[in-house]
Amino acid sequence: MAAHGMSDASTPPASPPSAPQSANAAELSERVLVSKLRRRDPAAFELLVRTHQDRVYDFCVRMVTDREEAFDLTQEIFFSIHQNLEKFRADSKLTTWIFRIAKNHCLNRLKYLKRRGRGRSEEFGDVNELAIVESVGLPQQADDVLSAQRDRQFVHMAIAQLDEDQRVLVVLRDVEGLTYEEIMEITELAEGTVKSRLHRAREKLGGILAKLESSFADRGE
Amino acid sequence: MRRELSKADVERLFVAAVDGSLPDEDVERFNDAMEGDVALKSRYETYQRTVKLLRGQPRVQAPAALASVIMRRTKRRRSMMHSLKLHEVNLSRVPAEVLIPLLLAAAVALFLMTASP
Repeated sequence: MAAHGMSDASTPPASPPSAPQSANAAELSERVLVSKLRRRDPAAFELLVRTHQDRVYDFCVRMVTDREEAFDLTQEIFFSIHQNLEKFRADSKLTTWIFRIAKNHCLNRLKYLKRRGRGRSEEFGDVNELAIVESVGLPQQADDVLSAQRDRQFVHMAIAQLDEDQRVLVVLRDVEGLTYEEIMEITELAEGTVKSRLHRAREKLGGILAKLESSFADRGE
Repeated sequence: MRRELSKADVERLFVAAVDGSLPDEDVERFNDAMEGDVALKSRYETYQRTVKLLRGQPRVQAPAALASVIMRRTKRRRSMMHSLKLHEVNLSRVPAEVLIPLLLAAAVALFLMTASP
C-alpha cells in the first residue's frame, strides 16, 4: 500500500473512495430513499426504521430516562415521520430532520410527565440502570467491568439531572456525535448559544459526576 | 505579561480544545494560562474527562420488537387511510342534489315505518 503523499500524481489511487466521494454516495442513496419514502414504499420505510431506531431510542432513553416511555416515544416519532414525509425538505439531512422530530416529541413528553408526576418505570433506579448496562456490551476484565459499569451509571444519572435544554445539547453533541451545524438545525439556536449552553452543561455535569463519585467513595469506606 | 482569561475566553477555549479545533494563535495562550493557573488546569481536566466519558457512552440498543411494532402500526394506519379515501371517493361521485333528497326520503320512510302501528 502506498504511503500518504507518495502516490504518483498521474495515477490517482483506485480505492478506497475519498471522503467527498463517499459523502456524495451517501447523499445519493439518501435521495433515493427519500423519493421512495415519498411514494409510500413500505420497504423503504422499514429500512428507515431499522437504520435509525437505535439512535432514536438511545436519544429518547437519555432524554426521558425511562425505557418504557422511550419505547412508546420512539414508536410515536416514527409514526410522526411516516405522517409528515411530505414536509421533509430536501435541503436538510434526513438524520437531522428525524432528530428534530425526536427532540420535539421528547420535550413534549417531559412536559407531560412533569405535569403527571413521573414515568412508568423507575427513574434510573438500580434495576432500570442495570438493564441498560446489560443491554450494551461489557468489557472482559472484572475490574474494568465494574468501573465501566459505574461510569455509565454515573453518566446516566448525571445527564438526568441536567435541565432539558442542556440535556438535548449534551446528548446530541457528545453522545450522538452530531456536528454543530446539525445541532443548530435541530434546535434552531445560533452557534454561539449552542456552544455556550453546551459548555455550561458540561461543567455542571463535571460537578455532578464529582459529587456522585465522592458519595460512592464515602459509601465504600 | 500573562493576562487572565475572561469567562468568555475560558468557554471558547475549552470548547475548541475538547473539539480539537483550537486555532494556532490560541494554543500558546491556552497552554500559558494552564501553566500559570492550577485551578484552571484542574477545571479543564475535569471538563475534558466529562466529555471523554460522555463520548465513550455505548448506545442503548432498541428492543428487538420495536421495528415490527412500528411497521404494524403504520400498516394499520395506511389501510385505514386507504379505506377512508375509498369512502370519500364513493361519496363524492354522487352529486349533492341527488344525495340530499335520497337521504331525506330514507329518513321519511324510516319514520313512517317506525310510526305505523
